[in-house]
Amino acid sequence: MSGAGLPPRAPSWTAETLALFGKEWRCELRTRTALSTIGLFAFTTLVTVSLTLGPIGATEEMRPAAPVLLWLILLFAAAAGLPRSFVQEEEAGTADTLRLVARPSCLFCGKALYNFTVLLLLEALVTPLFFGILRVPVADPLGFAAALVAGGIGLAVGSTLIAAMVAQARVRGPLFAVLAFPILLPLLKLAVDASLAAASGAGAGAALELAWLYDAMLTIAALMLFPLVWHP
Amino acid sequence: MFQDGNLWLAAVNLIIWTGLFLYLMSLERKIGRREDELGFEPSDADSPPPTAE
Amino acid sequence: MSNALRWFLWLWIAGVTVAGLLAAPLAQGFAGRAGDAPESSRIVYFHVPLAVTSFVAFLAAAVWSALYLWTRRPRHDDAAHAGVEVGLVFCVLATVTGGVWAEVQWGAFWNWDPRQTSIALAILFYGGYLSLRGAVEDPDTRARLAGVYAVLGFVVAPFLFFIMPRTVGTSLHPEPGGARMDASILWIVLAGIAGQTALFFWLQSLRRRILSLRRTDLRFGA
Repeated sequence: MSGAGLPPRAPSWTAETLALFGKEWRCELRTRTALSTIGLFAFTTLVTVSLTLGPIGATEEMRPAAPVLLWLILLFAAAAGLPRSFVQEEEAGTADTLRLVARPSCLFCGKALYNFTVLLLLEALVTPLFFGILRVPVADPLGFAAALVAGGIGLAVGSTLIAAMVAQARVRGPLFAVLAFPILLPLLKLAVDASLAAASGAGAGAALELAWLYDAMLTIAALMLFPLVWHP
Repeated sequence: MFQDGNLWLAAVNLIIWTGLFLYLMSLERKIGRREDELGFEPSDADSPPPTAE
Repeated sequence: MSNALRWFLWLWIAGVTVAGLLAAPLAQGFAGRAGDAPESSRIVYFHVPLAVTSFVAFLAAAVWSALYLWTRRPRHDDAAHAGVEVGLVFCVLATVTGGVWAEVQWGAFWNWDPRQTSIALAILFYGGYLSLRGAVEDPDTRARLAGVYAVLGFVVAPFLFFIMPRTVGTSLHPEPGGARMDASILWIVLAGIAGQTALFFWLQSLRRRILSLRRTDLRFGA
């Protein structure tokens, strides 16, 4: 009662980020546009690869192709689904409300976290299926999982920042891929190298460490630059 | 010390560089004239258009 | 600036051309089908300065972009835009001269040498920068987003230029000072870098002035 006249206390940074993260998932579960786009895209490419190449794991020399194909599927699935999160805000007119009520860093982290969980879900579904169908053995599953997580973080953070930029453009279609791929390709190369090493049991080594470093650099840069993208 | 072909290469190079520099200097004059017409100082590049149509 | 300064730059670049093609001793230590000390290696006097200048150009563009984001003065955005456009020309020329020489010396235009990977990504990135500019209609939004993207590029760049070439595979490019070469070769290359960097800043200033004019006078240079 006594506090009724006071302005409501601002939520903590973590609470605000988690609230935005929860909002993303609630909105997504209402329509399931991004999830079905990403899922169907990944499934279609998986079927195509398996249909045209067959069980490539049976022959030793073809095995290195598997992680490359897996990462290509993940990259293009991400490009197909992740830009939605910001485009939708701009189209539905909710972006301006968000600009007023949410701190940019919380919004960015909430969205990036959401994108990361979507990617993790996708990876958890696609990877076992992919390696099962293609019959490619993975010598070091833990190292492989680490490569998937390291690649996923960078993919999520990079996609979130680029998606925020693309949402403000007039021509959006191919722009996301054009802007995101040059930034994500070095990470993709590192993630593929780390996955290859883990699949063959050679130990992830330098590639995985560099992928973590790339994630850290990209995250710091994105956190610094996002407020400039977000606030006109 | 050098083959005959290099002499030709150097000559062609110098001709191309000379042509490029002549073109660039004429372009610079043209830009300068238009800037003068518009009353455009380099430091003015930020101000709103002086001759808005 | 005065034309005397322009002619001095011409003299400088002409001097590097003549010295590189006619006077310099041949660099040694190049493996490949064209032999150890091929005449074709004289292309370094163009190739290396072009590559270094394109790096300087993109660095300068990132600085101008940061300045724009800081001050929000359109002339800084014009400067960054012009820097990227001119830098991209240097970058493409560096790639082409490198490819031609690789064909002569190693037998292939392209073999995903780490430095080739870096420069290909740089071309993709700054091509993306120009598409971003083309895709945004509002001038302020365009300048702001392009500025962010150019600055972002220089977060990725150290990775591309310094870390990747040393970790991913072996490079056919010698480390700086790694090839067995006469000191005079190094001096001519450095002079070439100085000349082409000056040329870049001249070209960039011309392009920037054109872009600034176009914002007030849509017919200019169309």
